[in-house]
Amino acid sequence: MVVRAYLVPRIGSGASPATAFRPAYIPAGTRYWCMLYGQEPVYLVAADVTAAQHAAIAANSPVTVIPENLSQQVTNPTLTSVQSALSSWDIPGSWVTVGMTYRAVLRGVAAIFQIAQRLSGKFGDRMLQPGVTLPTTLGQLTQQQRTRLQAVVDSFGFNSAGITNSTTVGQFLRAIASQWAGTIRLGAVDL
Amino acid sequence: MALTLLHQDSLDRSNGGLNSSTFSDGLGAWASGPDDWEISSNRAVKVSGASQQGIVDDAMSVVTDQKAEARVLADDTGVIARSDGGDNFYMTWVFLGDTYLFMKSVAGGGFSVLGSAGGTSDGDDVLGCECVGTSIVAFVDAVAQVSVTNSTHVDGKCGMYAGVPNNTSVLDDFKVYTEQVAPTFPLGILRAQRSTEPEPDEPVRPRTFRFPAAPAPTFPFAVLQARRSASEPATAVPLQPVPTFLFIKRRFPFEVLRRYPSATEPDDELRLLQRVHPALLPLPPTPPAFKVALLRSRRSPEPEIDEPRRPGPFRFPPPVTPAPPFPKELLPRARQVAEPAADAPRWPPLFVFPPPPAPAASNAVITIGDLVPTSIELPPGSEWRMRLGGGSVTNPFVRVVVQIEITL
Repeated sequence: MVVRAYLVPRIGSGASPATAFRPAYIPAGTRYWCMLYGQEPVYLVAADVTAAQHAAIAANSPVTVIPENLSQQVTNPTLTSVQSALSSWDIPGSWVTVGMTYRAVLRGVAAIFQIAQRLSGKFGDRMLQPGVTLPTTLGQLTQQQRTRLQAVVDSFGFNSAGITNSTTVGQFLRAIASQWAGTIRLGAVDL
Repeated sequence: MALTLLHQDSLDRSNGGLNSSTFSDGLGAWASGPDDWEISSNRAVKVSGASQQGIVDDAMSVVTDQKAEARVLADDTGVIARSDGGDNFYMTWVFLGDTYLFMKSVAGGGFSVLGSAGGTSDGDDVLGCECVGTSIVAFVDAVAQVSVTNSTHVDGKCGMYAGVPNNTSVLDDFKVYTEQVAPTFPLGILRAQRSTEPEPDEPVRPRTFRFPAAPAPTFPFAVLQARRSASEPATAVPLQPVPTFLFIKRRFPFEVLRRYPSATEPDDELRLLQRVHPALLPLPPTPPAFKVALLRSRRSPEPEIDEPRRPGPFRFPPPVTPAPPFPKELLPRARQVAEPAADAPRWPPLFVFPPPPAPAASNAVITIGDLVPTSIELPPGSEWRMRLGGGSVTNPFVRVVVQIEITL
């Protein structure tokens, strides 16, 4: 058994515990820990899996498999694929650079997820509401959306200096999430 | 942050409604409701067909750090924390023999799995749901099984939850833990005894509390004396500049901080005097003005001693009373003045300065808020006094640093 991290689609309806939102492709009875991107349909999950289970999970095309060794660094040939993988989940990825460890990448992703979670818990809002994408600027959002984003920033005690109406949603998420100071725990994986 | 037991309900009482009932410890109280929950055989069950699925300890405050714990004896049942009494909470849950950590959010969030313990429940476990900051942990029999960071829900209350619309959800021994808070004890009289004095006609009213009067502000002046050692040459030797720092920090009441010259001791006496004219008190609202005077003379006529005289222990003088009239010489400008005549008192009264000889004065006026370095060269062997003064403080918290260098 080894703990592996994945980005997987979210399944379920959320209507009841039996039909709760949950990460796809994770076998029943598996011990796992997961993190939602607010109300976006993607899970960051760490699962304690066997080699066979890992192979079965990784065989599904939507799944993004994170290297087992999180101390491994993003190299020049893999940078584009990492950024593309994040973009495919509507996760900002332009901040990932060569030499960054995958643990740092996961930490950045998990911190972005926390921002979206707070927006969901505090206002019931999706981060990427219909018509809003990562390149959307804050100036294109409604005043209420901007006010709520500011409230989310304030609830964490983070600093929104430098955030302007020309800042994109993706840049906003990264700028705020980069202020996360503590450890982000995903079960057996500390980021 | 250590969590300590706040409320607990053993649920050991007669069968009946659970809603609005008081915990067995007499401290907690279940939320009111349409009798959706009841006590049955000293355990909590949800009434069959009832709509209310969750019930919280309404007596606890809405706090951030908390832990709900209960013995869960049925499937599809769990404990909740950070509940708003509605559709927002975290939950440790048993479902089909597995223990899950759930999050439930209103407005599209729905039930969301945050982790699975991997099938560890045997149908009789003590489940716990702990929320400390953004750390959310599911406990099974006091062992942390699922631990994640989640920022969705910030605070709320602890409670129980039943997922099925019948009375098969069974819980027992519910406990609420919250962050440790120092116990508070209301001020009061532990024991009173009537005095032997006669009773007054009217109730004795407490006197208005008054803070003791603050001591009158004192404005010390300090004397620092340095004398030439016998081993040093008697001829006039240019001395190294002696930086003298006088720190004045205006606060209310007035406060003066000072630091004396460095280890270099001039072959002269150096006297620092400063005071604030009492007429300028009290403060505020009138912006105070203050004056700084520096007096300097050459070596004292007292006999030389073999060793340099060291400054004695600093002592605050008694308060300056009564206040003398404020001298015109200090308002609003200051000037460099000469030593008084030989027959004049060696240390004339403060704020008395004869007319100045050459060299001309330069920049002896210090205006607070527009402070500039001041440098005055004095001929060797001469006696000089220099006065710095004038100006007023407009910012009551301004910190003024006056640096005086004396070069012979």
